Amino acid sequence: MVRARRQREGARAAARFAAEPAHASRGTSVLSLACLCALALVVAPPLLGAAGWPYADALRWLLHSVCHQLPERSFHLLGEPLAVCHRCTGLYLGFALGVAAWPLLPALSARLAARPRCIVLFAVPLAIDWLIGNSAGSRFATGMVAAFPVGLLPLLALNQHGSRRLPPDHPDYKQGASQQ
Amino acid sequence: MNNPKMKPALIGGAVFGVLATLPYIQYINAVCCALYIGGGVLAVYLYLKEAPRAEKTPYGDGAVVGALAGLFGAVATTLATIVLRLLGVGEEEAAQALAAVEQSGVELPQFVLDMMGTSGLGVGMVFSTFVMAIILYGIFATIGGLLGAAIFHRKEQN
Repeated sequence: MVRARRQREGARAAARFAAEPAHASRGTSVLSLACLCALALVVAPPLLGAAGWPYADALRWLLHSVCHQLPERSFHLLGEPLAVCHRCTGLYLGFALGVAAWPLLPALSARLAARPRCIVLFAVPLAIDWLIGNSAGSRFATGMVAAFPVGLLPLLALNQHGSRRLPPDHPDYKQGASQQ
Repeated sequence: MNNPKMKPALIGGAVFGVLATLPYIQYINAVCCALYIGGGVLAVYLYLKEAPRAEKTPYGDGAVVGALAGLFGAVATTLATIVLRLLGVGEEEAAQALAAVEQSGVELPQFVLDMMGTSGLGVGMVFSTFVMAIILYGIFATIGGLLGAAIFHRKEQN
Protein backbone atom coordinates (compact mmCIF):
# COMPACT_ATOMS: atom_id res chain seq x y z
CA MET A 1 0.00 0.00 0.00
CA VAL A 2 2.83 2.34 0.92
CA ARG A 3 4.58 1.36 -2.27
CA ALA A 4 1.48 2.09 -4.35
CA ARG A 5 1.14 5.48 -2.68
CA ARG A 6 4.78 6.27 -3.40
CA GLN A 7 4.32 5.27 -7.02
CA ARG A 8 1.26 7.52 -7.28
CA GLU A 9 3.22 10.41 -5.78
CA GLY A 10 6.09 9.73 -8.13
CA ALA A 11 3.79 9.68 -11.15
CA ARG A 12 2.21 12.96 -10.03
CA ALA A 13 5.63 14.55 -9.56
CA ALA A 14 6.67 13.35 -13.01
CA ALA A 15 3.49 14.74 -14.52
CA ARG A 16 4.12 18.09 -12.85
CA PHE A 17 7.67 18.16 -14.18
CA ALA A 18 6.43 17.42 -17.68
CA ALA A 19 3.28 19.53 -17.71
CA GLU A 20 4.20 22.59 -15.71
CA PRO A 21 7.58 23.82 -16.83
CA ALA A 22 6.24 27.35 -17.17
CA HIS A 23 5.56 27.75 -13.44
CA ALA A 24 9.10 27.05 -12.40
CA SER A 25 10.92 27.97 -15.58
CA ARG A 26 11.81 31.48 -14.44
CA GLY A 27 13.03 30.24 -11.08
CA THR A 28 14.94 27.42 -12.75
CA SER A 29 16.58 29.93 -15.09
CA VAL A 30 17.63 32.09 -12.16
CA LEU A 31 18.91 29.00 -10.35
CA SER A 32 20.88 27.86 -13.41
CA LEU A 33 22.32 31.35 -13.79
CA ALA A 34 23.37 31.36 -10.12
CA CYS A 35 25.06 27.98 -10.59
CA LEU A 36 26.93 29.30 -13.62
CA CYS A 37 28.02 32.37 -11.60
CA ALA A 38 29.31 30.10 -8.81
CA LEU A 39 31.24 27.99 -11.32
CA ALA A 40 32.60 31.16 -12.94
CA LEU A 41 33.78 32.34 -9.53
CA VAL A 42 35.63 29.04 -9.10
CA VAL A 43 37.54 29.26 -12.40
CA ALA A 44 37.89 33.06 -12.58
CA PRO A 45 40.94 33.61 -10.31
CA PRO A 46 43.47 31.65 -12.41
CA LEU A 47 42.05 32.98 -15.67
CA LEU A 48 41.99 36.59 -14.51
CA GLY A 49 45.37 36.17 -12.84
CA ALA A 50 46.84 34.94 -16.13
CA ALA A 51 45.28 37.94 -17.85
CA GLY A 52 47.14 40.20 -15.43
CA TRP A 53 44.16 41.32 -13.37
CA PRO A 54 45.65 42.34 -10.01
CA TYR A 55 42.66 41.42 -7.82
CA ALA A 56 42.41 37.74 -8.79
CA ASP A 57 43.62 36.72 -5.31
CA ALA A 58 40.99 38.92 -3.70
CA LEU A 59 38.38 37.04 -5.75
CA ARG A 60 39.82 33.76 -4.51
CA TRP A 61 39.65 35.10 -0.94
CA LEU A 62 35.86 35.47 -1.26
CA LEU A 63 35.51 31.69 -1.00
CA HIS A 64 38.09 31.19 1.76
CA SER A 65 35.42 30.67 4.43
CA VAL A 66 33.80 27.71 2.64
CA CYS A 67 36.89 25.82 1.44
CA HIS A 68 40.42 25.20 2.65
CA GLN A 69 41.75 26.15 -0.83
CA LEU A 70 44.95 24.15 -0.42
CA PRO A 71 46.79 24.40 -3.77
CA GLU A 72 47.96 20.76 -3.57
CA ARG A 73 44.33 19.68 -3.25
CA SER A 74 42.96 21.89 -6.03
CA PHE A 75 42.80 21.61 -9.81
CA HIS A 76 45.11 23.93 -11.63
CA LEU A 77 44.33 26.09 -14.63
CA LEU A 78 47.13 27.87 -16.46
CA GLY A 79 49.43 26.92 -13.61
CA GLU A 80 47.25 28.49 -10.93
CA PRO A 81 44.89 26.66 -8.52
CA LEU A 82 41.14 27.09 -8.85
CA ALA A 83 39.33 29.01 -6.10
CA VAL A 84 38.15 25.80 -4.38
CA CYS A 85 39.51 22.30 -3.81
CA HIS A 86 38.88 19.12 -5.84
CA ARG A 87 35.94 18.05 -3.68
CA CYS A 88 34.25 21.46 -3.66
CA THR A 89 34.73 21.74 -7.44
CA GLY A 90 32.95 18.40 -7.75
CA LEU A 91 30.18 19.54 -5.39
CA TYR A 92 29.55 22.78 -7.28
CA LEU A 93 29.70 21.11 -10.68
CA GLY A 94 27.51 18.21 -9.53
CA PHE A 95 24.89 20.58 -8.16
CA ALA A 96 24.89 22.66 -11.34
CA LEU A 97 24.61 19.55 -13.51
CA GLY A 98 21.80 18.30 -11.27
CA VAL A 99 19.84 21.52 -11.70
CA ALA A 100 20.30 21.25 -15.47
CA ALA A 101 19.71 17.51 -15.80
CA TRP A 102 16.86 16.60 -13.43
CA PRO A 103 14.11 18.26 -15.52
CA LEU A 104 15.30 16.06 -18.41
CA LEU A 105 14.98 12.89 -16.28
CA PRO A 106 11.33 12.98 -15.14
CA ALA A 107 10.97 9.29 -14.32
CA LEU A 108 14.17 9.18 -12.28
CA SER A 109 13.43 12.47 -10.56
CA ALA A 110 9.94 11.23 -9.66
CA ARG A 111 11.46 8.14 -8.04
CA LEU A 112 13.90 10.23 -6.03
CA ALA A 113 11.20 12.77 -5.14
CA ALA A 114 9.12 9.94 -3.67
CA ARG A 115 12.04 8.83 -1.47
CA PRO A 116 13.94 12.04 -0.70
CA ARG A 117 15.90 10.52 2.19
CA CYS A 118 17.80 8.46 -0.40
CA ILE A 119 19.69 11.65 -1.22
CA VAL A 120 21.77 11.05 1.91
CA LEU A 121 22.96 7.73 0.45
CA PHE A 122 24.65 9.61 -2.39
CA ALA A 123 26.90 11.27 0.20
CA VAL A 124 28.14 7.91 1.52
CA PRO A 125 30.91 7.54 -1.11
CA LEU A 126 32.10 11.05 -0.21
CA ALA A 127 32.23 10.16 3.47
CA ILE A 128 34.08 6.90 2.78
CA ASP A 129 36.47 8.71 0.45
CA TRP A 130 37.09 11.33 3.13
CA LEU A 131 37.74 8.74 5.83
CA ILE A 132 40.04 6.46 3.85
CA GLY A 133 42.80 7.34 1.43
CA ASN A 134 41.75 9.36 -1.60
CA SER A 135 43.02 10.95 -4.78
CA ALA A 136 42.17 14.09 -6.73
CA GLY A 137 39.90 12.12 -9.03
CA SER A 138 38.06 10.34 -6.21
CA ARG A 139 37.53 13.58 -4.30
CA PHE A 140 36.13 15.26 -7.40
CA ALA A 141 33.97 12.28 -8.41
CA THR A 142 32.49 11.66 -4.95
CA GLY A 143 31.76 15.38 -4.62
CA MET A 144 29.85 15.31 -7.90
CA VAL A 145 27.93 12.17 -6.91
CA ALA A 146 26.95 13.71 -3.56
CA ALA A 147 25.75 17.03 -5.01
CA PHE A 148 24.03 15.83 -8.18
CA PRO A 149 20.81 14.63 -6.45
CA VAL A 150 20.73 17.73 -4.23
CA GLY A 151 20.16 19.73 -7.42
CA LEU A 152 16.68 18.21 -7.53
CA LEU A 153 15.58 19.76 -4.21
CA PRO A 154 15.42 23.44 -5.26
CA LEU A 155 13.58 22.35 -8.41
CA LEU A 156 10.99 20.56 -6.29
CA ALA A 157 10.67 23.66 -4.07
CA LEU A 158 10.15 25.84 -7.14
CA ASN A 159 7.63 23.34 -8.47
CA GLN A 160 5.65 23.50 -5.22
CA HIS A 161 5.81 27.28 -5.29
CA GLY A 162 4.51 27.20 -8.88
CA SER A 163 1.63 24.91 -7.89
CA ARG A 164 0.61 27.36 -5.17
CA ARG A 165 0.34 30.10 -7.73
CA LEU A 166 -1.90 28.17 -10.11
CA PRO A 167 -5.17 29.85 -11.04
CA PRO A 168 -8.26 28.20 -9.49
CA ASP A 169 -9.51 26.97 -12.86
CA HIS A 170 -6.26 25.11 -13.53
CA PRO A 171 -6.77 21.32 -13.49
CA ASP A 172 -3.92 20.91 -10.99
CA TYR A 173 -5.11 23.66 -8.64
CA LYS A 174 -6.53 21.32 -5.97
CA GLN A 175 -3.58 19.01 -6.28
CA GLY A 176 -1.19 21.89 -5.74
CA ALA A 177 -3.15 23.15 -2.74
CA SER A 178 -3.33 19.74 -1.11
CA GLN A 179 0.42 19.38 -1.27
CA GLN A 180 0.99 22.08 1.27
CA MET B 1 7.75 35.59 16.94
CA ASN B 2 4.25 34.49 15.90
CA ASN B 3 5.61 33.03 12.69
CA PRO B 4 6.46 29.37 13.43
CA LYS B 5 9.43 29.60 11.07
CA MET B 6 11.21 32.38 12.94
CA LYS B 7 12.24 30.68 16.19
CA PRO B 8 13.79 27.57 14.59
CA ALA B 9 15.55 29.78 12.03
CA LEU B 10 16.89 32.03 14.78
CA ILE B 11 18.21 29.08 16.80
CA GLY B 12 19.75 27.26 13.82
CA GLY B 13 21.28 30.42 12.37
CA ALA B 14 22.62 31.74 15.67
CA VAL B 15 24.17 28.45 16.82
CA PHE B 16 25.98 27.71 13.59
CA GLY B 17 26.68 31.39 12.86
CA VAL B 18 28.63 31.71 16.12
CA LEU B 19 30.35 28.32 15.61
CA ALA B 20 31.53 29.51 12.18
CA THR B 21 33.55 32.30 13.77
CA LEU B 22 35.23 30.35 16.56
CA PRO B 23 38.90 29.50 16.09
CA TYR B 24 39.53 25.92 14.89
CA ILE B 25 35.78 25.07 14.89
CA GLN B 26 35.35 27.37 11.87
CA TYR B 27 37.55 24.98 9.88
CA ILE B 28 34.65 22.49 9.88
CA ASN B 29 33.31 24.72 7.11
CA ALA B 30 36.17 23.45 4.95
CA VAL B 31 34.33 20.11 4.92
CA CYS B 32 31.69 20.88 2.31
CA CYS B 33 30.55 24.07 4.10
CA ALA B 34 29.23 21.83 6.87
CA LEU B 35 28.50 24.59 9.39
CA TYR B 36 26.51 26.74 6.97
CA ILE B 37 24.53 23.76 5.69
CA GLY B 38 24.16 22.44 9.26
CA GLY B 39 22.49 25.70 10.34
CA GLY B 40 19.77 25.21 7.74
CA VAL B 41 19.35 21.52 8.59
CA LEU B 42 19.03 22.24 12.33
CA ALA B 43 16.52 25.05 11.71
CA VAL B 44 14.31 22.83 9.54
CA TYR B 45 14.61 19.94 12.01
CA LEU B 46 13.32 22.20 14.78
CA TYR B 47 10.59 23.59 12.52
CA LEU B 48 9.33 20.19 11.37
CA LYS B 49 9.39 18.84 14.94
CA GLU B 50 6.60 21.26 15.79
CA ALA B 51 4.86 21.29 12.41
CA PRO B 52 1.94 18.92 11.72
CA ARG B 53 2.58 15.89 9.55
CA ALA B 54 2.00 16.53 5.85
CA GLU B 55 1.40 14.35 2.85
CA LYS B 56 3.95 16.18 0.75
CA THR B 57 7.54 17.04 1.67
CA PRO B 58 7.54 20.79 2.45
CA TYR B 59 10.50 21.83 0.30
CA GLY B 60 9.22 25.39 0.00
CA ASP B 61 8.97 25.79 3.77
CA GLY B 62 12.38 24.14 4.16
CA ALA B 63 13.94 26.62 1.75
CA VAL B 64 12.33 29.58 3.53
CA VAL B 65 13.38 28.38 7.00
CA GLY B 66 16.90 27.68 5.69
CA ALA B 67 17.15 31.12 4.09
CA LEU B 68 15.95 32.76 7.32
CA ALA B 69 18.53 30.73 9.25
CA GLY B 70 21.11 32.07 6.78
CA LEU B 71 20.00 35.64 7.47
CA PHE B 72 20.16 35.19 11.25
CA GLY B 73 23.42 33.26 10.87
CA ALA B 74 24.98 36.15 8.96
CA VAL B 75 23.99 38.59 11.72
CA ALA B 76 25.31 36.20 14.40
CA THR B 77 28.56 35.68 12.48
CA THR B 78 29.10 39.43 12.13
CA LEU B 79 28.36 40.14 15.79
CA ALA B 80 30.56 37.25 16.95
CA THR B 81 33.38 38.44 14.66
CA ILE B 82 33.19 41.93 16.18
CA VAL B 83 33.26 40.53 19.73
CA LEU B 84 36.18 38.18 18.96
CA ARG B 85 38.15 40.96 17.28
CA LEU B 86 37.58 43.24 20.26
CA LEU B 87 38.94 40.42 22.44
CA GLY B 88 41.95 40.15 20.15
CA VAL B 89 41.07 36.74 18.69
CA GLY B 90 41.88 36.38 14.98
CA GLU B 91 44.52 39.08 14.83
CA GLU B 92 47.17 36.46 14.18
CA GLU B 93 45.26 35.17 11.16
CA ALA B 94 44.86 38.71 9.83
CA ALA B 95 48.60 39.27 10.24
CA GLN B 96 49.28 36.01 8.38
CA ALA B 97 46.94 37.08 5.58
CA LEU B 98 48.74 40.43 5.31
CA ALA B 99 52.13 38.69 5.27
CA ALA B 100 50.92 36.33 2.52
CA VAL B 101 49.71 39.26 0.44
CA GLU B 102 53.02 41.08 0.89
CA GLN B 103 54.95 37.92 0.08
CA SER B 104 53.02 37.39 -3.16
CA GLY B 105 54.09 40.84 -4.33
CA VAL B 106 50.52 41.87 -5.15
CA GLU B 107 49.55 45.37 -4.17
CA LEU B 108 45.95 45.20 -3.09
CA PRO B 109 43.97 48.43 -2.65
CA GLN B 110 43.18 49.57 0.88
CA PHE B 111 39.50 48.65 0.67
CA VAL B 112 40.39 45.02 -0.11
CA LEU B 113 42.82 44.93 2.82
CA ASP B 114 40.06 46.39 5.03
CA MET B 115 37.74 43.65 3.82
CA MET B 116 40.30 41.03 4.72
CA GLY B 117 40.56 42.46 8.22
CA THR B 118 44.27 43.19 7.94
CA SER B 119 43.73 46.74 9.18
CA GLY B 120 41.94 45.61 12.33
CA LEU B 121 38.29 46.09 13.19
CA GLY B 122 36.94 48.71 10.81
CA VAL B 123 33.72 49.57 9.05
CA GLY B 124 34.98 47.97 5.82
CA MET B 125 35.83 44.73 7.58
CA VAL B 126 32.49 44.55 9.43
CA PHE B 127 30.52 45.43 6.30
CA SER B 128 32.37 42.93 4.11
CA THR B 129 31.98 40.21 6.78
CA PHE B 130 28.24 40.79 6.87
CA VAL B 131 27.77 40.95 3.09
CA MET B 132 29.85 37.82 2.50
CA ALA B 133 28.15 35.98 5.34
CA ILE B 134 24.70 36.88 4.11
CA ILE B 135 25.49 35.65 0.57
CA LEU B 136 27.36 32.46 1.50
CA TYR B 137 25.31 31.62 4.58
CA GLY B 138 22.10 32.40 2.70
CA ILE B 139 22.93 30.06 -0.18
CA PHE B 140 24.29 27.15 1.84
CA ALA B 141 21.72 27.40 4.66
CA THR B 142 18.93 27.34 2.05
CA ILE B 143 20.42 24.16 0.60
CA GLY B 144 20.67 22.85 4.17
CA GLY B 145 17.01 23.72 4.68
CA LEU B 146 16.04 21.76 1.57
CA LEU B 147 18.11 18.80 2.76
CA GLY B 148 16.52 19.06 6.20
CA ALA B 149 13.04 19.00 4.65
CA ALA B 150 13.98 15.90 2.63
CA ILE B 151 15.43 14.10 5.65
CA PHE B 152 13.16 15.09 8.55
CA HIS B 153 9.78 15.35 6.83
CA ARG B 154 7.16 13.23 8.61
CA LYS B 155 4.52 11.74 6.35
CA GLU B 156 0.86 12.00 7.20
CA GLN B 157 -0.57 8.70 8.45
CA ASN B 158 -3.46 7.52 6.28
